[in-house]
Formats: sequence, C-alpha cells, structure tokens
Amino acid sequence: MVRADEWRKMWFRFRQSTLSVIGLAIVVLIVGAAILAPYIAPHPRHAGSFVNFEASLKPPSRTHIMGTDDAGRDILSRVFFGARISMTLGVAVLLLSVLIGVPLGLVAGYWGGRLGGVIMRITDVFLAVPPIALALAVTVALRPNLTNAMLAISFAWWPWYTRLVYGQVLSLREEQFVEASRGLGAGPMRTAFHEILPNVWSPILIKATLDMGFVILTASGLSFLGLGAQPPTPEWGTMIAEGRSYLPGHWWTATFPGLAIFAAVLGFNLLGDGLRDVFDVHIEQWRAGS
Amino acid sequence: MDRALLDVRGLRIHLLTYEGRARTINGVDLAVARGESVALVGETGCGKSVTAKAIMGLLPPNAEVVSGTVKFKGRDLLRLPESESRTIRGRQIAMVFQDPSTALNPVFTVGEQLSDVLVWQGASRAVPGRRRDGGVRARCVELLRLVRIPDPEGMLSRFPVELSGGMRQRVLIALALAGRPELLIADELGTALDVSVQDQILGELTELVRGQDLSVLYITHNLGVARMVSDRIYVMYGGEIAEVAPTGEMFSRQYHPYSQGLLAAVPRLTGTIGSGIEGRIPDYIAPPPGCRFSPRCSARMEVCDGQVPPAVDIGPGRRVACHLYGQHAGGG
Repeated sequence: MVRADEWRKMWFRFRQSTLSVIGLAIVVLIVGAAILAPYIAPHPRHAGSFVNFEASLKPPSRTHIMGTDDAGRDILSRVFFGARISMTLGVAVLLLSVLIGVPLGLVAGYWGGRLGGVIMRITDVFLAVPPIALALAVTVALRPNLTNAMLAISFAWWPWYTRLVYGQVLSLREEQFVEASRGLGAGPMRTAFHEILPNVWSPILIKATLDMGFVILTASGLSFLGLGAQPPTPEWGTMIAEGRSYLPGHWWTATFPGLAIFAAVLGFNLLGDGLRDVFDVHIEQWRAGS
Repeated sequence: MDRALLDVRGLRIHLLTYEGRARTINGVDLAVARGESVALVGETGCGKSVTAKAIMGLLPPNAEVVSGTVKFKGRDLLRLPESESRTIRGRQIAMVFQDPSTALNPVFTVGEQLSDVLVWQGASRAVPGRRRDGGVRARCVELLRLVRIPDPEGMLSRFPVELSGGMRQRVLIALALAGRPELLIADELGTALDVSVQDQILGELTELVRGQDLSVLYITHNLGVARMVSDRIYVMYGGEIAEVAPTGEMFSRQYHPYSQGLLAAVPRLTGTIGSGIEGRIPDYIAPPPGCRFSPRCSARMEVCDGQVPPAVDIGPGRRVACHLYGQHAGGG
C-alpha cells in the first residue's frame, strides 16, 4: 500500500501546476453539487415536473440566481441536479468501458497470437467510427432514455481502453520484471493480472479522468438531440434543447446549463493533465533508473 | 561428478530468426553438483544466457530445442509440461536477474513483492488477501536480513525506485531465495553495479551459498568474478563448451587457445594492458564447419576447418574441446 508520505509527495507535485489545482477545484465543486443537490438546491422540487407558469422565464435575480425556465423552474436547482445525472452517467460509462476494454487489451497484449489479433481487429473496427456517431446509431435503435444513452456511449467507448492497455502491455511484457516473476514460478494469469496490470492502472486512471468530460459532453449531445434523457429530466443537454427556442431573448435558459457542461469538460481535463504530471514523473524517474 | 544436481547433456538450441536458423547452442554439456558453485564464462553472445534460460524453462518462443537433456535431480526439465516446470521455477531453481533497475516491479513495495512470492509459492498458507499475515512478514524480514539489508523492517515499505542499485540487487537475491531453492542461477550478477558494490555483493552471496549449502550457476563474462565465486569454470565459446576446469587449475594453466586468450585479455595490476583476441563471435546462421573458434585461433591447424573438435579428458575434472589435444595432437 502507498504510504502517507507517498501521498504527500504526489500532492506536492500536483500543486506545482496552478491549472491542475483549478481543475481539481472545479471537479470538487461539481461532485459536491451532485452529491449535495437535494440539500443545497434552493428549490429541490423544481428538478422534476414542477410547473409554475407565473414565474416562467424570469431573468437571473436574487431569488433565482440563474433565472427560471419556461415552466417557471429554478435553473440553478436544475443545474445542481443535472450534475448528479452527468456524474452518475460519466462514472457508469467509464466503469463499463474499463471493465470491458481493459481485460480485452490485457489478453490481446499479453497472450497475443490469433486471439489477440481478432480482439484488436474488432477494436479497430469500433475505433474507425466516431464515438458520437456510433452512440447515435445505438440510441436510435433503442428507446431514447438515459440508461440507453449510457449503454450506447459505453458501447462506443470501450475500444479506446482496449487500445490503450494493449499498447502498454506490449511494452511492459518485455520488461525484465515480467520475466523475473516467471522465473520465480508465476503462471501467465498471475503475471498478466498481478504484475503487468498494476503497471497500467495509472494511464487508465489518467485517461478515465480526461474522458469524463468528453463522456458528459457526448451524453449531453445525445440528450440535446432528443436521444438521451427526456424532459423534464434536468439533464444539461436536455435543458439546452428546451431553452434553445427562447434564445436570444431569454438567454439564461440555455446559457447556464451550457456553462455547466463547459466547466465539467474543462475541470476534468485540467485534473487529468495534473494527474498525468503526478504519475508520469513517477514512471519517468523509474525508467531513467535513478 | 557423481549425483549431479543439474546435468545438461548435449544441449542443442536453434533460434529461428528473420535472417535464418541460428545454431546458437551447439552441444553443451554442463553439470552442477550439490553445494557446488559453477561459473559459465564467455564473451557476450556466446550463448550463456540462452543456456541459463533453457535450464529455467524460459526460452523465448522462437527457440527450438533440437536435442539434449536438462536433468535436474534426475528429471528432464525440457520434457516437463509447463504446469510442472512452474512448480520447479522459484521453488527448486531460482534465477537472480542481472539488471537490478528493471527486474523489480516498479509499482509494488519491496514487502509486497516478497510476500507475494512467498504466498504464491505456497510458503505460507495465508490467502493473498491476508498478506499482512505475521508469519509472512517475519519471513520477509528474515530474507532481507539474510542478504544483509540494513533496517529490513523499514525496507518492506520502500518502492524499488527509492533504493540504490546494490540494495535492489540484494532484494532480487532475497526474492530468489524466498522459495528455498536448491539451485540458484545468477545471470551476470552485479554487472550493472559499481565494481566495489559488486564485489561486496558477490562476497556476501558466496558466504550465504556456503552457509545454506546451495548450488549456484554463475553466468558471467568476467573471469575475475568467476575466480572469486566459483569452484569450477566452464569456458563457453560460440555455443559450445571450450574448456572445463576447477577454478584454481584454470587460472594456473589453460589448454584451449580461447581460454588462453580470455585470460590474456584481463588487464593486470602491473599496468600491462591485456592483449585481447582478434575477430568477432561466430556467425550462428552459417557457423564455421569445424571448430567454431578456428577463424580467430592463433594455433589453427588444417583439421580445425573441417572437423568439430571432440571434448577430451585432459586431467582430473578437466576437459577441453580442441584439436591440439585430441588424436590430431602433434606432440602431446
């Protein structure tokens, strides 16, 4: 297990970049909003099918910081609950992608041969289609709802992890510690999953963090097109789609959910870059044999 | 050489490469008795490491064992199924790897790597989830103490990247010893280290080996190392054993012209620089048809180009494969 001073060292390296810290702050804010939404949202009931036409399309004010939408719902509250949906969806998609993609990449990279060839060719076919197009195709075939959007995006996303792990395993396989573990009596399963795989976790973690923003963006895109979350779900993409018809006069209806997406993508990207700085230093130091 | 622990006979290995079939190992005979330290000496590319890998059962996929046997305690390792040879690796024959900077897994602490090996080799009944088992920990500390690591308790939570080359090499030895093997194969041990650290580690290992009655096969290109650690020396050239002799005798008299050249190449403290041997290691794809050393040999005769020299006994425990000493020998 990693010791406390190891964590402190990592935190020190992470802090060297202001942008990383900003990214972390944004992510903490979004995750905080997602977890605490029912407690901090000024109007928790507005997340659902609440309607109050008297307050419809009110501009930002002290009572409604981000204004209200066409049904008179508080946009700030809905953005908070939207964070909940986006986080859950992002984590679910990445979890599924890692669960499917990583073992396939490991098997293809370590055992290689015909099986590895087949796995990688299938992966290549998936990679040849842009993820958003693939996800679109799948959601059209299924009923458009949030769960199906999640499944569709996962379906398009796992090959990137297979590719990443495959490449890493190919180079790690030649490392001496792999042969050393075999020399001490480790079998192929043990070598692949206990010696090689732990060395791949940090690039996976970095990629997953960077991907989180893009998954949220893709999901919002699907919802915007009406193929993901359906109204009145406070999904950011759905909210933009709903608010679009009131542009530009009632600009706040689409702008604030849009800014939320922007913040999420930016935050996770900066955080991912920061993590890369932390972990790659670790690896580079080692490679240099210092 | 009765009751040899390891007995390699007539080992021939070809490597299938893009350029063609490389006849890398061409009839190697090698034996290690119980409690004996043997050095396999030769220049880079002579096939020492391939021999070691064949003994370990870790040959690369493009290697083909053409003929020969590798008997360990009477069982032929080359013909064991993979599942069985896995129970021998680490538990009966263990390898100490040559490059201490890459032979440890960078993401695990020393303690994790040691206890992992102990657990998977079944030295402890602890299930992998319970690595903090007191018995395993105690054994880890004991192993680290055995290889003279100061503060073994503290070492358990260190990552390889935090250690010096000498410390890493010691950890690698501890890892090899974890399964209580009977035969240790040390591939270029300490070559990547400072000479002084290498000396120290080799000295410690020799002591340890004597104390535990271990057998060791040292693979080295350094005659000085071989002299320091071994009881007997095999000189290897071009995938063949050129000469075998007890260490002391090897240094007092060499028969094979290659051994002579090898010793002459060692720089002396008197300031004279070694003379070296002209030429390069043989081409394994189209090796010289007779003696593989003949193109570089100063004592080359006609017969050398056409016939492979057989190994002949030339004294107690001494064998040499050279036409100078066979039936073609001119004088004696």
